Amino acid sequence: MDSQPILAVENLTVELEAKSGTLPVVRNATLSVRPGKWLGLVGESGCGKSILALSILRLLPPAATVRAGRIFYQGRDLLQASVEEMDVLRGGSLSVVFQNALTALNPLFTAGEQVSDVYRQHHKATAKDALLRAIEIFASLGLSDPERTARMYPHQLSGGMAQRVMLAMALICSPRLLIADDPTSTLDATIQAQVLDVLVDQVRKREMSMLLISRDIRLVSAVCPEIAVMRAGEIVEAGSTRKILGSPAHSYTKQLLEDAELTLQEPSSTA
Amino acid sequence: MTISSSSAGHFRWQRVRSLLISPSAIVLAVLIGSALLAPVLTPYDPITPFPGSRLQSPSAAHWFGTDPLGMDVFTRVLYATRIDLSVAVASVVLGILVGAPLGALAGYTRGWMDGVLMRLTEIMQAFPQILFAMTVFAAVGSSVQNLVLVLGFFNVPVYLRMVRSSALPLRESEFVLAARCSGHSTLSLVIKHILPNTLVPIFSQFSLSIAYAIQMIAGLSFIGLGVQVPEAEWGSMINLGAGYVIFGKWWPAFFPGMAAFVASYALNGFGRRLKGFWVA
Repeated sequence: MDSQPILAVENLTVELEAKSGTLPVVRNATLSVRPGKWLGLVGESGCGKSILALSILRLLPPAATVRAGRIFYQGRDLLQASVEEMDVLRGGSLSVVFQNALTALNPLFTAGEQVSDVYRQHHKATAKDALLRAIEIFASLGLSDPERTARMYPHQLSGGMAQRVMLAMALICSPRLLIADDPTSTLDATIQAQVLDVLVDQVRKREMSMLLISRDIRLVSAVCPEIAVMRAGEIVEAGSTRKILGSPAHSYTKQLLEDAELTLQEPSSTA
Repeated sequence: MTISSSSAGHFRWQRVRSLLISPSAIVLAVLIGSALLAPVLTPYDPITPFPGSRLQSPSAAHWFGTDPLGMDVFTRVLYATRIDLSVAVASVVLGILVGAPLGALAGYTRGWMDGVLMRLTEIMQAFPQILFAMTVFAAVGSSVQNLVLVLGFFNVPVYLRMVRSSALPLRESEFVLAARCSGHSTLSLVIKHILPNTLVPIFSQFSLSIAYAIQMIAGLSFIGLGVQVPEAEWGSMINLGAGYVIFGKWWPAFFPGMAAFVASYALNGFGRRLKGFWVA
């Protein structure tokens, strides 16, 4: 059981319906995450990373459709799962953190209400108990005044606080797999490091699996022991981080690393 | 943080105050207050005819005169406010309760349900309302309850379409996707996340719809549908007094007409102010 991946995406092809015809945005992508392991998915904006994540959640925009491939989560084929099964899974054992937490929170409800609502979506609990749980999670995520944060509306939160609230929403039901879609890219550098630390810390403590998606190969390689590199809808290279950083096989990976100034031993001759 | 939020609070209170002391709000308060206090404000009974005091002109004893059945017009105008306003509010609330959730569902799900609901509302809105009301009353009889149902029915497409159009952009918003990702089913998503975010235009439209409903109630009652004599209602009172205007007895028709006019004018003004209040 342990060797079986918690998430396996096999030969996934997703097409986008456009006026001029169909456009493949994910092409024949294969990746897997083993229980308790972390996989980083890296690639430039628009390469299909987010679409890949959304197809795992079965929340593709109406214009996009899965053409081929299979997605297994804990041995179950998600593409065959019913709507009700997906509702139970999402936010329960499979959860997501998005890029921009400030717009991912409903402006009309307090942080505490939104996080406890996720808990009540999956467990029988009174509003009060769920709120206490939310406050506990806030505290464990390093929010300095969790009670006060719980009473705040999204417009009163700073970017870092909002991202932690988002993270609390994702963690409150103790998921087994976290899909983190560029969770820190909208924050500034210092806050980015703090939030990433908290995220990594929690995911490790809870022994969760993680699919970390980012544009930043430095960030991904610092966190994940394994990475997959995606370009124009295709996974061009995948393997252990050490191997890929040491001897990148694909020219695109090399270029990414050069851009990130991680490979200093090969200075480019042309400037 | 505290400074900005407290000054925002102050700013908001100032705006609430300017809304509450606007002329239209004061007129509405006077109308509602006098309707509630009617038994204190006048000694007369609104629905007992006094054949001995028919069509007396306005005087100290009868401020608005008496009608062809000898009833005090001032008393009846006050009591009529109760019926007109409560029927109007009830019918608009009914329209919102049915229309808003359906609109949110249509706007969020799109698809076949959206198509069906949109075509249905188009049919409803294309059909002449007075004709529809007359047909219904002819079939099931006219009563206050049927009046509420019919007017509520007219309000359903208004709110359905309005909420749908506010729900459409929300559909693409990230917080809806995030809520979806935290395990909300379509129905709970629509109720908990979409609907609350569409309430602002509903509030603004509310007042305008009530004004329109009052005109419909008075109009239907004037042609003998809806509220029946001797029950006090502005439209039926105008009907009762209309035949006497040519004899110079203008007051039984004039005062209820003025009341209906003032009420809908004030409600329209208040609705416009509300719209500005939310938007700014």
